[in-house]
Amino acid sequence: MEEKVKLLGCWTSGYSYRVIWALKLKGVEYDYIEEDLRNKSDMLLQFNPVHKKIPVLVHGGKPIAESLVILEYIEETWPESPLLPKDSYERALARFWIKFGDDKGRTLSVLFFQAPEEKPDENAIKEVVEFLKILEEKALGDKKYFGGNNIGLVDIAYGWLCHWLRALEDMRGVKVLEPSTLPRLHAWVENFEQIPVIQENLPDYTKWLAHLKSRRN
Amino acid sequence: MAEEVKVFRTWSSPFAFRVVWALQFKGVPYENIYEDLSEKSSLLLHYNPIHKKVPVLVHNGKPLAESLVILEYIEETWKQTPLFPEDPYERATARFWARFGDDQVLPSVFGVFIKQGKEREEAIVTAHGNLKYLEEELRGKKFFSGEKIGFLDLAFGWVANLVSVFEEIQGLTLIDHEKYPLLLAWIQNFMDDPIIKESWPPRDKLITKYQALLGSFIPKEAAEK
Repeated sequence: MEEKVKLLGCWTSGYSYRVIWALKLKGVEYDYIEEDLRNKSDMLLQFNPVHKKIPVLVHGGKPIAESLVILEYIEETWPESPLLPKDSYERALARFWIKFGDDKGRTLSVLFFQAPEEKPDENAIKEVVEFLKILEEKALGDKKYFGGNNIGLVDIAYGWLCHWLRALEDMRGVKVLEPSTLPRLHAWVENFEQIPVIQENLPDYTKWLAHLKSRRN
Repeated sequence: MAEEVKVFRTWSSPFAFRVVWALQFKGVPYENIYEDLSEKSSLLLHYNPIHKKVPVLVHNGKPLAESLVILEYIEETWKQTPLFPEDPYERATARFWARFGDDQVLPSVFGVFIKQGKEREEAIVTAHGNLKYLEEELRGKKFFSGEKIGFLDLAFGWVANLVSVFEEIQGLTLIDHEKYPLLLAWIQNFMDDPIIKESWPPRDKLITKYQALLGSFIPKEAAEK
């Protein structure tokens, strides 16, 4: 008998969406619980006492935290519609690129969450563009998706390049992902957003932008 | 076809040790290629152009970087002596703690040893806040992975390897008997394992190396006092 799956998430979190996309792509039924991060539920504190953060996946009553750990668990537990390559070397490369992106998250926070009056940090912008260039050249190359002809965990892990990066660019008046300098990555964003599961599971852009702006004040 | 496995490493890198230990536990023959990080070889730069760091595993000419990624690859490629738990939930738990170790515990412990004064006091509080989880995880177990050494023990190998070195250099105790009886027992059990013991770096060399490293972190005014 299938054990119940619950996801504690938040509509404002890109990490939350990674898990939603993986579950939906594999056709896994789950109950979604929206958390108010300013007023965390007892359930969240009980299921993720170490970090007290979302997303948390709960399968048959057993909780798992950290979106990337959750993604690997989902892949192992529901092997249909595989999101990682079969070949172990290719899998290792996929994991390398996923980690590469997550490590860079901090640089992005520096650039985009500076005080509004401050001029955008030129060095941070350079670093972000450099990062995107490596991604385009080494991780994506001439493929349609990071995962090849179909999306995989790497695409899911970089989903934030869509909505989330665009909102940060709009907010700061800084453009880092330009079609002229990063044509293949730009095309990837368009292709990724057109996938039905992704398209149907994105936060409303206007709402999201307003939320980001209010968070910085 | 003959298998060719090379590990680009330094004699002391705790991340490289994870890879070397994993290969040794599985009895996979490999070649050590020692790098001088102040003068990186063109081969290393070719195999790890993104980060230019060790360790790098090269298997039949194909390079991989990032120690935890390499451990997963080693597990999938050489199935003898499994290092990861079989159950997916336990695997997820192990991965969670390994990330916690690298993202939180390691920087906080390192912070204790390179900071000074009030900043060090705060770093100590943070480090204890993280280390207490390790102590809890060992409850009822000899190793983090259970009865035998596994992935999570290798991931935490730096605790056994380096903390006492830092403690000796700075003359302070972080992992004490009162708060961390299980962690101290784990450190001893880990170090006593024949495979781990065989490739353990010389302690006096570690002390010299980290003394020099710590010296480079002290601000000039303090060093000149």
